[in-house]
Amino acid sequence: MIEVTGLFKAFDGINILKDVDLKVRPGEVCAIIGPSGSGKTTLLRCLNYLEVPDAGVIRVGDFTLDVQRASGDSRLIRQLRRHTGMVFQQFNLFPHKTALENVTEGLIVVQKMPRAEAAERGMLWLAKMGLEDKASAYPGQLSGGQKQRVAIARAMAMEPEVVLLDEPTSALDPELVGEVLLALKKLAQEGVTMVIVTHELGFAREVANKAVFMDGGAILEEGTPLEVFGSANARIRSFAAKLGHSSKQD
Amino acid sequence: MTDISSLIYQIVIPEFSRTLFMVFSATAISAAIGFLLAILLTVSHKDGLRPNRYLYHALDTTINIVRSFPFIILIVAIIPLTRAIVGTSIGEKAAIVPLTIAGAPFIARLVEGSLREVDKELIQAAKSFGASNFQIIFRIMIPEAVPSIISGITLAIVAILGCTAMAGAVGAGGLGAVAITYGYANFDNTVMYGTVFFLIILVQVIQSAGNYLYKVLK
Ligand SMILES: Nc1ncnc2c1ncn2[C@@H]1O[C@H](COP(=O)(O)OP(=O)(O)OP(=O)(O)O)[C@@H](O)[C@H]1O
Ligand SMILES: [Mg+2]
Repeated sequence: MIEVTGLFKAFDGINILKDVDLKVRPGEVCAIIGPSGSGKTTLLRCLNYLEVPDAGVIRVGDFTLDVQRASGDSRLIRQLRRHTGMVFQQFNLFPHKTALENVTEGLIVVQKMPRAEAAERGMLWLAKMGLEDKASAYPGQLSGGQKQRVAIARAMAMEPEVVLLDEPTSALDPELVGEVLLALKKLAQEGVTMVIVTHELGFAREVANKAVFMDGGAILEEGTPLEVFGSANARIRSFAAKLGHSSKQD
Repeated sequence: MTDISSLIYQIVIPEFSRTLFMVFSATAISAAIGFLLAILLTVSHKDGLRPNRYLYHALDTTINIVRSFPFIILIVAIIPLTRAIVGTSIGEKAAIVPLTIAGAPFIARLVEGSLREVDKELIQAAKSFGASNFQIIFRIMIPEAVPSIISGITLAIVAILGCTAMAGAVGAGGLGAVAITYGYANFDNTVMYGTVFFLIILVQVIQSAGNYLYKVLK
């Protein structure tokens, strides 16, 4: 479970996140949608402290971090990060490491797990992502969809409390989107807590328990995906209409 | 005039070992210091893991100052320092001091460049799973940068080799000194071109070894 209250973030004096509150219960999948520049990425990165928030309280599982009290305490920040996994739009795999080494790197370096044990757990997660035969392939030899599944395995192997995914399928060719969404759906069914920024409304409707619409650095509406996508709010309606239109063109 | 076999046996071989000694000692010490400086520069840079304007500025300026000395002037300028460290300002051991002082900032810049080329995204990924700055530097950045660091070090070895010739001019031995003193000063073309030819081969060998390592590691 992850809960954030009163989150503020400014870049160069411009407020990007304005008092964001969000709560995702254990086993829930929360889809964040919203127009470009609304602060979705910034919110996700603040939850993982890849951006340093200006204020707010972040709670992940039984770990709580008050931004104003913790800032600069690198130990607390690392602890927060160990409770959260991150999947990036551009995969961010280590190019000189094999798929398996990518997955085990954090286990060996950060969690100080013995190599054999890390390899075992790494193989387990690669297998779950349908990639057991790609363990010794380098990222350059993998398709976008395979790369993103390695990245998901890498995040999951650390056994985080919650996985944060920023548009995990946006950098993929359309025909590769399905395999990644399917892998995510499987994780959701296993009860993995996820916060996912996505433009895949169909996926959100099917898999997410909760949807959040962001606009101008604030949460405009939250509820079940059906409630949010069917909202009467004019901003949301025009946003959903645009997405619906573009997805019909694919 | 000198014939080829006495050139090789009496001059090239003994002087070659002196050159090797100077080049490799200077490279090893320069690399150690250069690495440390490069890590400090990378970490304290404004986009680094732990920005520190004052430290970065101090190191940056110092390195620029040292690097702007022409090597031949540097040798002379630091004679008191060289004496203090090795007890003399003449000979191969003495030459290592200016070679290192010139080499370390050079390697620092090359390694700094290699480390900065490491994709920001990889550092983000490492941060995202809770790696410490120390782990990010030594387990992620340096391993990712190794091929590029190797080609930088190769460049540095060749540059240091070139500098040993100048060090030769002020009393250190080595092949460069032979080319200058015997060849240039005594108008002995066999010695001068023979030694230069040998130096060319040496550079080729170093460069090929570096390129090969780079390819294998990449
Ligand atoms: N490092 C930064 N420095 C300055 N401004 C930034 C930075 N990162 C983001 N911003 C600004 O913050 C705002 C929100 O950006 P963010 O990336 O969070 O939007 P987003 O909702 O993820 O958009 P998209 O759908 O295009 O990914 C934008 O106006 C962006 O220009
Ligand atoms: Mg974004």
